[in-house]
Amino acid sequence: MIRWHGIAATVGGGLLVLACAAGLLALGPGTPAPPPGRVAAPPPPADRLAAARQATEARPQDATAWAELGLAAVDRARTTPEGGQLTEAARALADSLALRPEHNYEAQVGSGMLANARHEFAAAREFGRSATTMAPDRAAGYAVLADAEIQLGDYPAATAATQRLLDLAPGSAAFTRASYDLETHGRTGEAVFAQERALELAGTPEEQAFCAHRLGDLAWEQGELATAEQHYRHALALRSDDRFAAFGAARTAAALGRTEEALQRYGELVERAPQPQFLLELAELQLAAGHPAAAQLAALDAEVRLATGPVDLALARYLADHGDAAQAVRLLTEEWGRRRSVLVAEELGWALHRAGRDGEALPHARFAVESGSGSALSRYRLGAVEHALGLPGADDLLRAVLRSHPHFSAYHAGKARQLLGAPGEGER
Amino acid sequence: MNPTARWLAVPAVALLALAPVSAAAHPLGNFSVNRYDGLRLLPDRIVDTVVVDTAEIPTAQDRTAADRNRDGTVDAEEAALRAGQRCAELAGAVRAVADGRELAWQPVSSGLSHRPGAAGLATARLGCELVAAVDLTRPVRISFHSGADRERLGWKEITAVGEGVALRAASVPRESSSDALDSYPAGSAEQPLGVVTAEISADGPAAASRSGERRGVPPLAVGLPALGGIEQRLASLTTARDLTVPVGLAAIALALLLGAGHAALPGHAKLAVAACLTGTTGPRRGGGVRAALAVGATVTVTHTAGVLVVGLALTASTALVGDRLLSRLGLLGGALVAVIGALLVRTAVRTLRGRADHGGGAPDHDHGHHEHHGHDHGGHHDHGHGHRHGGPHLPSLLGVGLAGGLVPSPSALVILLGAVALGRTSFGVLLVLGYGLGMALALTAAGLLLSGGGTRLAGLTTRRIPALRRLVPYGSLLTALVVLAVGLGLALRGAVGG
Repeated sequence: MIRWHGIAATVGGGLLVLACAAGLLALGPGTPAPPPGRVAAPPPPADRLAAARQATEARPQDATAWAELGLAAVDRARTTPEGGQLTEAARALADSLALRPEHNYEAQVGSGMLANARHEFAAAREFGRSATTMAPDRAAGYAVLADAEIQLGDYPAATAATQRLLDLAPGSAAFTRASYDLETHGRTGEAVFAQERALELAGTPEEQAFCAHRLGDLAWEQGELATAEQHYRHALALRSDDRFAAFGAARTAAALGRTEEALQRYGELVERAPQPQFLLELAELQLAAGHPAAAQLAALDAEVRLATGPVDLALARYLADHGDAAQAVRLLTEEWGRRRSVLVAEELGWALHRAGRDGEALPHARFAVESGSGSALSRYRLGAVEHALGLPGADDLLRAVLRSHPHFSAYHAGKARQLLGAPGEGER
Repeated sequence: MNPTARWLAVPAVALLALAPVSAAAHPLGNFSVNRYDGLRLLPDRIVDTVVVDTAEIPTAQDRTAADRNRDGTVDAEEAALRAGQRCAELAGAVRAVADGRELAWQPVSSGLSHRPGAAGLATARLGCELVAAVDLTRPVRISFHSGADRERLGWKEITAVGEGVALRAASVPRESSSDALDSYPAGSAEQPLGVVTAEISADGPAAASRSGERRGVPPLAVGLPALGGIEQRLASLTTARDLTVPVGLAAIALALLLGAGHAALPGHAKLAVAACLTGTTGPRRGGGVRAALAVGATVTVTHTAGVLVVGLALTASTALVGDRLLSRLGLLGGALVAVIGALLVRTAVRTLRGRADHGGGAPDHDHGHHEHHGHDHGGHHDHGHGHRHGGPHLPSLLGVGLAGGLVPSPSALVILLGAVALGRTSFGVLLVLGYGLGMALALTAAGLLLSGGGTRLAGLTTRRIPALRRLVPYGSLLTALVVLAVGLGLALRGAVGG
């Protein structure tokens, strides 16, 4: 009987302990009970980069984890330029390749992404080729290849890689690249269609915002300012930190005559992301509106002095229009030796024109218009070169540009009008 | 999921618009604007020592504003003027709310200096001292926002110290990890600190002995001199950010050790010895082993239950209070311990009175009965009808165990509450179980040692039985009084601190 007492007491005590534990679990701060036999670990962060960092800490010998960290860091570098993420990516990818030198597809793709981000397109092409050779039926390698080839100016190769990408993984990324490829070939209507398809297929707000601001860019190039502004607003509603959407919104506001709003939007943008392209557009708007642009120009000058490695085209454009045009020619000639992209041709042609070498500028400017997207800016540039050479039809070209896109550039639209108003005069 | 499938969704076109890759002279990158706010809380004001370290490009952007005479250089006078301007702007952007009242910040000093950076460019360092008047001689809750733009690339850091003001809790550390932006820790470019807000609870004037305590569980722990180190180690393991399997196992091992140490304290040991010796003198030879095991098991169960009940009560009563949980726990914990202490005192006094009624006779019958129903602690105690058995039986031994395990040891409670506060309730329960098990192991070991085969040690102790037996009830009373005093002290401290 006594034993029964004891057993009853023990069982009762045990039940009490269990009840208390259950009560505590129910009342305590809401965390799910850990799987049996395992100590509760902190949940993986939602942030991709943080999750990748955690994974490499947990499994430092896992080559795939390091490759994923590299990819996540490259991805992050898009939104935080110069955030040290590219360095982190380079180190992580090197670690991954050291752990698994052969058949490391993820690291090959990541290295290609990194090279593209660093504007080292020839290296990116090599990584893309080795990745697609390693796994001809995996999509990621073709994306690296497509990005590299289009920048290197090998347009047939870029189209082939994009087509293969579309065949293997017809998603948002593939249609975005297809849109870019079509735009580069001047097929704007189809480019818009592909980009709309990409927007439909986009899975995350970030991707959706990217597609929306790309649609804005396409509308902008056609001079459809109201449509462009709608797309930019849509993108900003999806991701308020989409800097290219913020840039587009500022540029559209300026073109629509809302200068104060544009200056404010630009001001906020360059405060957070003083990238050459943004600084230059703000400086040119300020110059056109009669505001001082010294701060922007000083920052651009500093960026020119800090720049190493491949040329940034926006910085070259700054040099051509507001700095040392001869230096721009030198830098762009080197770049033209590395890659035969229409974008480089357009900038080189313009730099040559600004340096007074219009004869050499003409073939580059023509190539840019005929083989490229035929943007308003590129056609204006060709018109300005032809105008300087006194060629017939130059004024018609300039008038056509202003008709289709009266505010294609706060700064250069005025210059174009000057050229038409005072034929034969220089534009300085 | 295929690890490369996700990046596929990243449109690489955006990458092409990236800024050029530069030789980063500034450790946080050429674009970065880095901000440090060092808060000092004094009885009549808060002083914010702001440092803004700008890398080459933002410095170039700012230089045109600083260079008033447009001669291309920023001389000392221009630097001083620009520093004054920027500090005034910062003073307007800093937000601090003390108990719902917005504070007004005034710049009292400013300075701007340039240092050589990359490519012949300069980096700049702006220093401002901002002051806001506020009465911190009473407890105040302060919400601080530095106004720094989180989307702007760069290091953002806040620290807070009290000078003549006790800080009970602060969401930011006391020390700067970057030495006020002078030397950034390794890897800071990849994972820069992004702290732009701080929550601080100031406790009024700092007493000499109370230098501001860091955030954490309320000071329930009544330190055990020898075990204090282990306690601290365990507490730090419990509150560690990353709970890994090795850390978890280490924590459980420490809990076991701590429990064993706790069992060695006065009170438990005596109970165990008494119980086991009673067992050896009982009718059944070999009952000592059984008794020891019974006591150990009961102590574990009771102690764990006790700690969990108190923890449950505290969590239940504070679950509604939300973020004031930690500040209230001290008060509630103290009150509960005091209530338990009071009940123990009552029981002990009744037992003593009962002894007196019995004329001190039959001592081996009523020891161990004084808290037979102790597992209902906090509830009804129907004492006064002590069982009268012919010898030391299992129920009485269980009573001893219940008594031994009843009082939740503060250190175990702290471990549990700390784990609960961190959202690791189940881990906390596991630790408490380990703690109880450690206690049980120690007690059982002691009991077995003493009862095992009539050794010299047992004989030695047998001679002391009468004294021990007489002392047990007084010991209980003393323990009860100590518990009551500790509870009152904790409650008082919690009330003042809260």
